Amino acid sequence: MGWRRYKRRTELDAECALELEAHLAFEVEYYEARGMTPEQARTAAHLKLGNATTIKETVYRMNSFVFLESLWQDIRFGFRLLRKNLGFTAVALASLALGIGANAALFQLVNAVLLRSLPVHNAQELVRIHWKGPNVNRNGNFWARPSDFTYAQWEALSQKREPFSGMFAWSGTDFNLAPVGEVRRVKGLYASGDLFQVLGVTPVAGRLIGREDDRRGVATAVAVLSHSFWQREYGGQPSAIGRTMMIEGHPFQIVGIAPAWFTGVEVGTQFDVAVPLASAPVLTGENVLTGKNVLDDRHSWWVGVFARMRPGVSVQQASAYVEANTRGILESTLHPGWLPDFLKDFLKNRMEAVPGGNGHSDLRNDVEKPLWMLLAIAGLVLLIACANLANLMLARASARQSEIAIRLSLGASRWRVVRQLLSESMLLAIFGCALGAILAQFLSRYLIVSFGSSQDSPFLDLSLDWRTFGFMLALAVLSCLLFGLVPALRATRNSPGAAMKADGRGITSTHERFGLQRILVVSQIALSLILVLTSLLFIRSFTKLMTLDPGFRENGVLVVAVDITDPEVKKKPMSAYDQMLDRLRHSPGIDQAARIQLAPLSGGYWNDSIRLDAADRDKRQPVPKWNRISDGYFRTMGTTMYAGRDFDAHDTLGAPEAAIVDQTFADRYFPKQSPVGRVFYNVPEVGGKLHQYQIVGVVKRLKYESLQSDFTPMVFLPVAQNDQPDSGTNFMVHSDLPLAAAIATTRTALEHVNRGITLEFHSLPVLADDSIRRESLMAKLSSIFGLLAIVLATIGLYGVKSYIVAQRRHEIGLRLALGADRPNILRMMLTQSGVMLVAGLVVGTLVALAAGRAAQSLLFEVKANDPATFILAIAGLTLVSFIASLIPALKAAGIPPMAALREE
Amino acid sequence: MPRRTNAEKGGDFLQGTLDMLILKTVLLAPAHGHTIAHVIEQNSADVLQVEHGSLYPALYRLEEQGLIASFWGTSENNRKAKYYRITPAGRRYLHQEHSRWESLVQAIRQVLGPATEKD
Repeated sequence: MGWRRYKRRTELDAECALELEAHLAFEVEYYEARGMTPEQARTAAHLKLGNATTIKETVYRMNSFVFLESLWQDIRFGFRLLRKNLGFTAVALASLALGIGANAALFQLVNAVLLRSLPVHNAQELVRIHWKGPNVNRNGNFWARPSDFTYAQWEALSQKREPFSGMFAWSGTDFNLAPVGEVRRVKGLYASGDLFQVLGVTPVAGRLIGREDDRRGVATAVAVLSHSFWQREYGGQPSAIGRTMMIEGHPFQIVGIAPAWFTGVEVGTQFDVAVPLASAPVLTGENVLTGKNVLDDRHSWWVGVFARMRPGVSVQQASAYVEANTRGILESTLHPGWLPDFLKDFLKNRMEAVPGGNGHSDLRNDVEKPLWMLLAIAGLVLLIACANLANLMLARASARQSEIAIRLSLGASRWRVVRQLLSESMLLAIFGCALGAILAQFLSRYLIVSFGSSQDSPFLDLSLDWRTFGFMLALAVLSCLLFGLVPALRATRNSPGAAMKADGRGITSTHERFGLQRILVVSQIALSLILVLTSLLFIRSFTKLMTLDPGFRENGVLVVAVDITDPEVKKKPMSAYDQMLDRLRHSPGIDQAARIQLAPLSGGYWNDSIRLDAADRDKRQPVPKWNRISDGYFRTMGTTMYAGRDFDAHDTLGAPEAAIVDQTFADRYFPKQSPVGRVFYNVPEVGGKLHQYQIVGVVKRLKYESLQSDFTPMVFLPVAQNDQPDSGTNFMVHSDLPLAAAIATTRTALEHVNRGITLEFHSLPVLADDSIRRESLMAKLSSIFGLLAIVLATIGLYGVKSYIVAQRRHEIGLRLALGADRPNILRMMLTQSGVMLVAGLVVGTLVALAAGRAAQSLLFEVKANDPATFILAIAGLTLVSFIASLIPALKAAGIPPMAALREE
Repeated sequence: MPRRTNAEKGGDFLQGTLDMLILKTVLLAPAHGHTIAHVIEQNSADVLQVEHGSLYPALYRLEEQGLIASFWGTSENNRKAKYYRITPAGRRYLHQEHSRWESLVQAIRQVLGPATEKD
C-alpha cells in the first residue's frame, strides 16, 4: 500500500465502479443468452455479485489509510458538533482550561523548584555534599544561605577528591552596593576558584573567577556580573569590564560577565554579583567576639559544597567515600572552644553526597509541601470538572441515542462509533489544554510573586521543557478519557434495537440507566467536600494568624536597620546609637523610638539555654529566645508591662545585669510566683564565664521571629549592658505620620548624627504580611478552588436532576394522572438527591479524614480534623445541593399530567 | 484498521487457492473479471463457484502485489472492460505455488489413502 495509490484513491474508486458495472452487464448478457428475461437476468446477476458497495468499500479500503482517513472524518464531524453547540463548548472549554491551567501552572512551579536540573553540562554528574540525617549536632553562627560547612571544613574536604573530577564551594548572601545612605541589596555569590570551571561556564566578556583569585589571604578583589545584572546596571556595555564597583563599601574590579543561562547554583535565587570565596573577610569583616574572620572562624557555617563525579563513579560510591572521610575532616577542623560533652555529639555527624544536578534551594524546603498540596487540590478540581463534563457528555450521548442506534444497525462497528464520540472529547481536551497552557503562564508567574515577599520574589526558570509538556499531554489525554470514554462506551452498549425502541413511546427510564450519572454526582460531591474542607481549614488557619495578638502593635511602626560604615565610629558605636535614639525621640511626628538587636518578624532569632541556679546543668526545655533592647522598646511597640520596671539609666555596664522576661517565661520557670527580683544564669560563650541576670520586669507574651512560631519564653537584656557591641542595630520608630514622611523624618534624624551610615527601612505591617504570605496564598487559592468545586458540583447536580426530570416527564405525568399528589413527587425527587448527597458526604468525609494529616503541617493552630470545620463544610454543601436539586424537583412536581402524557 | 470481511477470513489456504486459479486463468490470455469467474467455474465443471464479492478484492490484491497487471480494453461485444494479464513475477509465483499445491495434495492423499468406504 503506497502513497501513490492513496493519492489516486478517488480515481481508483471510480474505476472499480466502472468495472463492477461492466461485470454486471456481462453477467446480464450471459444469463439472457441462457434464456432468461432481461428482468430475471438482472436479478440473477445482482444476486450473484452480492453487495457491490461492499466490494467497492473493500477495494477502497485497500487503497487508503483507513484509520487516518476516518480519524480526519471524525475530527471534522467533532468540529461541526462543537460549533453547533456553542454553549456546551464554551462551558466545557472554560472548565477544562481552568482545571488544566491550574494544574499546569502548579506543575511548572513544582518542576522549576523541585525537578529541573541546573542548565549546566552533564548536570547528572554533580553531587551536593551535606550532612546526613535531619539532626546535625553543631553550633555556631549560620549567616549565609547554604550553611552546610565552615571554611576550614571546605579546605579539608577539598583535599578529599578521589571520586571527583572537580569540586567547588560557594555561598550566597545579600551584598549592599550603596557605600552610605539607603541600602541597595543585590544577590551576592561567593565562588571558590573552581566553581565556573567545574560547571563549565564560559564568560560572554572578560574572564571569570579562577583559582588565582581565590587564595586565602591574597584573594583578589574582583567581581563577575551576571548577564542580567550587567544588562540592568550597565546596559550591556562592554566598557563595564575594568570598572570598579563598591560592595559593602569596598572596591571590587569587574573582570567579566557570566552567560545569560548561568544564574547560579541556587534554585529560586539569581545571583547578581560573584566574588571569590576567599574575599569574604573583606566584606564581612571580623567577628566582634572572636576577632576572627569568616575563613578562620571555625564555628561560622556559611559554605556549601558541590562536586563533579569522575565518569563511572556512582552517587553511592561518592557518598560512601565522603562519609568515610568525615571523621578525619571533622577532627582536623574542630573549634578550640568546644567542650568534650559537645564534641562527643559533634563527631557523630556524618557527611553524604546527594545528587546535586538540581542545585541547592532553601526555597525548596519552604514551598515543597504547599506546592504538592496545591497540585493535589488542583488535581481534584480537574477531576470534578471532568466528572461534570462526563455528565454533560452522557446527556448528549443519550440525546443522540437514536442516531447512534442507526449507525450501529447500519453496520458501523462499536469501536468506530466510540472513536467518533471520543474524537469530540479529544478536540475539547486539546483546545482546553491549549487554553490551559496559556492560562498557566499567567498563573505560575502570579504564584511565584505570591511565594516571595513584598520586595523579593523567587527567580525561577519557567520555560517549557519535556516534563511540563509531557505533563500537559498526559492531562489532556487523561481528562479526555475520563470525561469521554465512559460515556462513549455506555452510549454504544445497548443493542441498536433496544436503543431505537427506547426512543419511542412508553419506555420509562430505569434506575440502571442513570446509575453512572449518579455515581458521577456522588463523587463530585465527595470531591467538593474535600476541597471545601481544605479551603475552610486554610481560611481558618489564616484568620487565626491575622487576628492573633502578637503582643505588640504593628500599625505605624517602622523598622530601621542601621549600619555604621565609618571605621572610627564603628569601633565604639554605642554613643552614636544613643545620640541617634535621642535625636529620633525629639523629632517632630515621632512619638516613640527604641533600639533592638534583632527586629521582630525578621526571621532571625537568638536562642540559648538558661540555668535556674549557678550549678544547674540541665537542659531546660523549651530553650528561651533572647534579644537586646533599649529602654522604651515596650512603649514603642505598645506591649503591656505586667510587673516591674523598664530598663533605665541605671542598667549600664558594670551594674548588675538586668533582664525583662515575658509572661511565657514567667509561667514556665516561675509558676505561681512573681518573677520580679528573681535571678537566672547563662553561659553565653561556650566555655566562657557564667552570667547572672536579675529579672526586673515582666511583659505580655510576644512573638519573635515570625507570627507562625509558637510563643516561647523570651528574655530581653538591655543594649547598654552589651559588652560586645555589634556594628549594626535596629531602631523601632512609632509615628502617626504617613509612611513616606516617617521614613524621611527618621532618615534626617539619623543622618544628622552621622552621615556615614547605611539605612534600610521596613514597615512592620508589611513585614507581618510577608511573614504570613504563604498562609494567605494557601487560603486564597484553596478558597478559589473550593468555590470552583462547589460551583461545578452544583451545576453537575442541577444538570443531572434536570436531565432525569426531563427523561422521566412521561412517567411522572402518569404517576400524577394515577393519583400521586405533587408533594409526593417532590418528596420522591428530593429523596433521590438526598441519597446521592449523603453518599457523597460520607465518602468525602472519610477521604478527608484519611488525607488530613498531609495538610496538618501547613495549618496554624487548626486541627486537620477540626469538627466545627467539618460540620460547617457539610452544612454548606448540603444547603447548596438542596437548592440545586429543589429547582428541578419543583419543576417535576409542576408537570401538567395531561400535557406530559399527550407528548411524544 | 480495515475491518476484515468474511471473504478475507477464509484463511490463507483458500485465498491462496483463489489467487492460483486467477493466475492460471490469465496465464494464456488477458481476461476481464467476468470471464475469469466463468472460466474457473466451467473448467472445474461448476464444482468451484467463484464468489464474485471476493473476486474483485482478490484481483486488486494481486495487482498490488505485481503478479498481474490491468488495462482497459474493449470486449468481443464492444463493451469497455478492465482486462488483467499475468506479469513475469506472476508466472514465477504461479509455478512455485503450483508445485507446492501438488506436493500438498500428494501428502494429503498419502495420509488419506484410497477413497474406499469401510464398514
